[in-house]
Order: sequence, then C-alpha cells, then structure tokens
Amino acid sequence: MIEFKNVYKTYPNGFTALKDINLQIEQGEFVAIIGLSGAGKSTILRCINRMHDVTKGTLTVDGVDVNSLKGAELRKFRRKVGMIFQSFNLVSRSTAIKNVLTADVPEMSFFKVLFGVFSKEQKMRALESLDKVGILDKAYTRCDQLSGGQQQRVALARTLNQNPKIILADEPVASLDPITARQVMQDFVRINKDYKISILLNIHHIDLALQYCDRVVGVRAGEIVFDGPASTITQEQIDYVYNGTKAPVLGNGE
Amino acid sequence: MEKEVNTLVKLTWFDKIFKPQVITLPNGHSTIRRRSRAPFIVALVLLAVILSLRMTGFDLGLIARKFNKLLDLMVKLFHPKWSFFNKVTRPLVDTIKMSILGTVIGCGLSLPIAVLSSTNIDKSRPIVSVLRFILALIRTLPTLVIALVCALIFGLGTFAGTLAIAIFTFGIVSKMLYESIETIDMGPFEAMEAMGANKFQAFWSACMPQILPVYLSHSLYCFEMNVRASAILGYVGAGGLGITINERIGWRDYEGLGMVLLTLFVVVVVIEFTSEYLRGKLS
Repeated sequence: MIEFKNVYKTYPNGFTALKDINLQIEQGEFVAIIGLSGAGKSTILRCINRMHDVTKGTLTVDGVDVNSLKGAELRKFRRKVGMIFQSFNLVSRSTAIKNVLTADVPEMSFFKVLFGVFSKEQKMRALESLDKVGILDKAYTRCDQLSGGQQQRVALARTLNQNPKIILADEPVASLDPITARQVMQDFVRINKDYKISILLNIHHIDLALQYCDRVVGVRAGEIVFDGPASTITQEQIDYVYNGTKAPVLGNGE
Repeated sequence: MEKEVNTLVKLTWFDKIFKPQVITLPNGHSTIRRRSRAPFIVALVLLAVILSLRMTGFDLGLIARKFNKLLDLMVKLFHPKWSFFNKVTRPLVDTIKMSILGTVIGCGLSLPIAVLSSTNIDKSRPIVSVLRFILALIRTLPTLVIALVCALIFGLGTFAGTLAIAIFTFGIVSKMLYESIETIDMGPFEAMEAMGANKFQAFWSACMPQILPVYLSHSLYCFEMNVRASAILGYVGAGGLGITINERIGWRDYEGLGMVLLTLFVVVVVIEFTSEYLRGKLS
C-alpha cells in the first residue's frame, strides 16, 4: 500500500510542486494520474521511489517511511518499485536481452558487474520477461532497431525482470502512435491483472486513462482535485482538472 | 523614405571618406549603396605579404637558380633504392611498436581520467577543473618537445619515444573522450538508479556501453596520428624511423631517403584505411 499523508514538495528553486497531498493506493490497483503539464504528476511518481525527496509530510510504502531511507536501504527498497519512462531510457546500442538483464545488476557482485557475467538462469529469466510482453523474437535485436512500441515493451520487460510490487509509469505512451499506445496500455492491464502489481501511470490521453485504468486521480497545480473510479468521472470534473490553472511554471518534475 | 534608408545603414569613418552612392529610382525613391571595402582589404593583404617577404628574406630568384638542384633531389627521392628496404624494416617495426605501446598506455590512462572530467558524471566541480587544467597543460606541449624531454631524462631510444607518445595520446584522447561522454544519454542511468543500482553499477551498465565504442574510435584515430608523429620523433633521438631519416639526409643519400619515405607512406595509408574501416564498424 502506498500512502501519502499531507505531503508537500518544494523544489530548490522555490517552486511548490505538491501541496497537501493525501492519497492511498492499495496493492494491485491500476491508477491513472491526469492533469496539465507541470501540475505535479511526475513529482508524485518520483516521490514514491524517492527519485525526489518529500519536503513535508509522510509517504509510506508498505509501512516503510520512504523519506527515512538511506543508501543501501533505499536501493533495496527501489528493487520493489519498477519505473517506466516516456523516452524508454534503454541503452539503445545494446540488445533487448542485455537491457532486460540490467535489472539484475543491482544484486550482483562488483566483478560480475565489471565483466558483465550473467548466469544461464538470469538469461532464461530475462527471456521469460521478454516473452511476457510478447517480444521474445526481438531478444537479440539492438534496441535502436526496434520501433517505439517495441522499445517500451523492452523497458516493461526490464521492469518485470526486477519482480516489482509497484510499477510507476511516467507518460509511458506519450511518444507512441495511437495504435501502439493502446497495445502498450493493454500490456499494462495484463500485467496488473496477472501479477497483481500496482500500477500508477501519468497520462495525457484521458480516453486511454478512462478505458484502461480502474481509478483516476486528477492533479491541478499541485493539489488532488479528483480521486475516484474511472467509471464515475464526469466531463465537468475532467474540465475542472484541466481548466482554470495558471500557466504551468515548471515542466514535469525537473 | 530616403531618411528611413539612411538610418538603416550605419555610416563608418570609411563611408565618410568614400561617400556612398545614392541610387534614385524614376519614382523618386532612393537607396544608398556603400562603397566596397574589397579594394582596401586587398591592398592591406598585399602590403602584409610584401612586408613579410622582405622580413623573411624570401628570394624568388634563389628558387629559380636552385631549381635544378631541387629537381635533382626530387628525381632521386622518386627513385628509391629498393635494396635499402632491409635496413628500413627494423626502425619501421620500432616506430610501429612505439606507436602501439604508446597508444595503449595513453588510452588506458585516459579512460578513467576522461570519466572524472565529464561534468555529467563527475559532479565535483573542483576535480573536473583541476583535471581539465592538467589535460590542457599536457596538450599545449608539442609531441616533439615531450619526446626531447623524455630523451634527455630516460636516454635515447624507443622508450623515450613510447613515453612521449603515451603522454601526448593521454592528453588528446582524454579531451576528445570527455567531450563525447558529456553527450551520452543519461536516461538509462536514471533508469538504473530507479531500479536500485548504486552509482557504479548504474554507470557501468548504462553509460559504459555508450562510451566504449566512442572510446575505441578515438583510440584508433589517435593511433593513426601516432604512427605519423612517431616517424619524426627519431629526430630528437627518440628511436624509430626518424633516426634513419635524419641519417640518410646527413649522408645525402636521397635514394635511401626515398625508400624510407615510401615505406612510411605505405604503412600510414594501410593503417589509416584499416582504422577508418574499423571506426566505421563501431558507429
């Protein structure tokens, strides 16, 4: 369970990205976070795996206060939280399987990392992860030769390979065409149902959010202005999330 | 209208001496055309050339009078003494050995230093500044000077040459490499950190695959340069072909010299083609 209690986040430049966020997400939920660019969607995600620090309030994941974690503890905690990025963040020169294998790197010894030695079991598990997202046939293809949708699937396989309990997806379909975007959303649904992994994703496509996600959280200027099942949200409520905001001061996150 | 045109063109002292031409159309509208500066600039360049010819004592007549001698020398150079090849092989192998060893040592040292000089990976400003300053210092020294110093300290021979090449390579490759490292995609690094990797693991898994091909490419390029450079190092006593070249000139044996230069030319061309081919494969 992820729990935000009165969470505030102020960036070093003085911009307050989150104001008094209260949010509870149960294990296995599929949540879409919607809102304008700069509303604080990315910040919410990045606070959960502590890529950003919380300024005030408490954020707990499975009873662990995330903000108190340090060094090795924090890295161990991050093993349970997968992250998907808009630009995939794959090593594009490497093959798909090599990218998926990097999920094992944090648990390997110094010399094994140095020489890139992976065991047969690790390789088989990586191939299984690629199979779970349906691109096993591309395992030994360099990522720069894959399409955007295929690359996002490799990224998804990499995340699955770390066996996470939570997946945070920051605009996962924003750089994909509409058809591929739907396919990737279906992958998320399947992963959510089959492996009971909680999924939080930031998304600009409201239609996709309403169609595939169970719950919608609307963020406006750093505050949660809507939180409820995707089936109950009304047009007025969507308009309220998107309208009447002053011009975004900052891009998503950084 | 005329006034507007005038305010658009800024008049300099040049225009005050050489008045701009005013072109008026039949309908009364006009524009000004400034006098060309080209004749003025050509005159200045000519003056500079004449002055420098005087100062360097350049004498066209001397070239004309000694032209036969030049032709004579060229003819000898282009008629290499094939039998001399046997005497070229050893210093040639020395030169190549110096280049390979020097390049390997220099490049080996440059990788960690380049990583520590890249602002996207090394967040410590002082370390970056100090390393870059040292690298700049090394690069200002010409290879020949480094070789001379090495020969003075370590004695004449290939060791001094190897060391000079290593130092030179280190300076150049570090610089080229840290500039390349600063352009790599840091997204995979972020992904690794989000997965719970420490800095080393994230760097090694996400950044090294991007750096390695660039590193090898820079190293090969530097090896190319080093083969050419090391042929000259013998001049200051640092071993290799340079010694033979110096010696042949001293003996006025231009046919022999022709053979040395021909061999060097073939070797350099072969190495450059191979290196270019390999670098093409790397990208």
